[in-house]
Amino acid sequence: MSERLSLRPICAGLFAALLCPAAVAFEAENGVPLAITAEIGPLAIERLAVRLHGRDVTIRTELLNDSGERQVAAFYASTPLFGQLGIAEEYADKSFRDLRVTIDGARAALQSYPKAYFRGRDITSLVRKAGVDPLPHPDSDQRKLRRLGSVDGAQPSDWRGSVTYAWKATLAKGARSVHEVRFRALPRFALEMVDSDRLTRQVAQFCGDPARVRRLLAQADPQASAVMVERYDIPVDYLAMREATVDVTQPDKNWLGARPVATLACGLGDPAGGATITGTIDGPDQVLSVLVISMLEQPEAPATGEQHGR
Amino acid sequence: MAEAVTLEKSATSETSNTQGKGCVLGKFISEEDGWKIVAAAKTWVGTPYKSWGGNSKKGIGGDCSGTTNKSYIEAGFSYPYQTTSNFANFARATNRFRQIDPDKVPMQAGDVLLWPGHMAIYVPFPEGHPDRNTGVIRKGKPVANDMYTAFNERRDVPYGPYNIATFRPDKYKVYRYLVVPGAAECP
Repeated sequence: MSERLSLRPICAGLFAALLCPAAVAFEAENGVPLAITAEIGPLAIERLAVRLHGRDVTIRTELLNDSGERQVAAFYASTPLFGQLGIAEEYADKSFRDLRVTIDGARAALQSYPKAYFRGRDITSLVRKAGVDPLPHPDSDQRKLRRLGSVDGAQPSDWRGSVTYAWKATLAKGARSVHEVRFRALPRFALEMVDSDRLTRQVAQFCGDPARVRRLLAQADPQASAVMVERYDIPVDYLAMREATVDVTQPDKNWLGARPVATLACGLGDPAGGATITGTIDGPDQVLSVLVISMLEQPEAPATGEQHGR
Repeated sequence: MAEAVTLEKSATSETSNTQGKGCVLGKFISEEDGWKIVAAAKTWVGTPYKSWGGNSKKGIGGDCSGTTNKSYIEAGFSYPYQTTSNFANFARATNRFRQIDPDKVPMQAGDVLLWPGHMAIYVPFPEGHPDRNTGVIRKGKPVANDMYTAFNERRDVPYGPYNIATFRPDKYKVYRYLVVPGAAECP
């Protein structure tokens, strides 16, 4: 990490997203889906609701134990394997440390299982021994990293990591239980040209009508040449073939500093509706995918043509 | 001005479209022209990061595609604003930019560096240039800057000089502006 940058840790840490709502780095980054998996055995899911407000995801699951005996439900939230794209990456932290789970309103204890891999080997214990978090982060201590030594002939400064969080609940015979999972999503985002085939393809993939969406964009800003496109993928393995209510709302100005004007999800709402969609899905998919298209912010002050000092 | 090039001659990438490769297409900008683009880019130094695309404004806010586009226009090498997602398609479709293979053609000042989701302007800062060394450290050692780039808001770092490998070590593509004289030379 550069000395210049280390002097400016303005938005580092867990609260970065809360304090810096319009932060963005690269113009496009891949999303990092957090996959929710459950072992519920004979327990019944009475209600399932998924809410996406801005980037904040809430998955509410109501369980019923009608099995006639005590049951244990276990849940997992897993990241994919991830690395680092560089110092300016927006998603510097892909570990979902903000994940919160409540069971019947009480905070659930989460077990965390981070893993590190390099050149096909599990190097979790090696990385830990050096005093480094197994999950890659651009702010990992460079001095400690150099202590890692060699793995398969190379220093593992560029490793991959993943983490699984787990929690469980015990339901007595006949008991009901409400699980609520909350986290901030890391969607894929990219600037796209309004008249591009890429935008047309993406709108169609989300069951939207490209012509209607373009009309909506033109109404919002006839001069706009580019829009911000976010893709949210929310994998929930017990979503498939279950009736689930879905509620997607977007703020007037989102975390990218853009203005959401169209939200699309197959099976939900008007394919060229506004930024809010609600409805019920009961399809075979284990992933809820949502596309949000936003107008870019306009500069508030006129161009000065003057150079600003660094 | 650099010598005229045909599509065939400028096809330094396997992915380049060389249809009609026999006709004179244009001329790559010279290194001197490239430094004009760098000079324009330098006037954006200090501009805060804002994801404003083609609305980018000097000193107020700009992103990587917007600052690159405006720097080129200010230097006299115009092209319609393109997002990073669309830049390669635009280059292929129009030949306004040609992809350069740095193993075959040396990179020069003003070349566009294109990553998935990011772009920057290549600058081989000479010794003594004030933007060559700004204290960037890579693997424990000081490194020289070799591009102007829009950085990000999360780090509170504005547009400015930086070292390519430190910024983002994955592979990038290199594009060079092609001065197109007109369709008349293309039968």
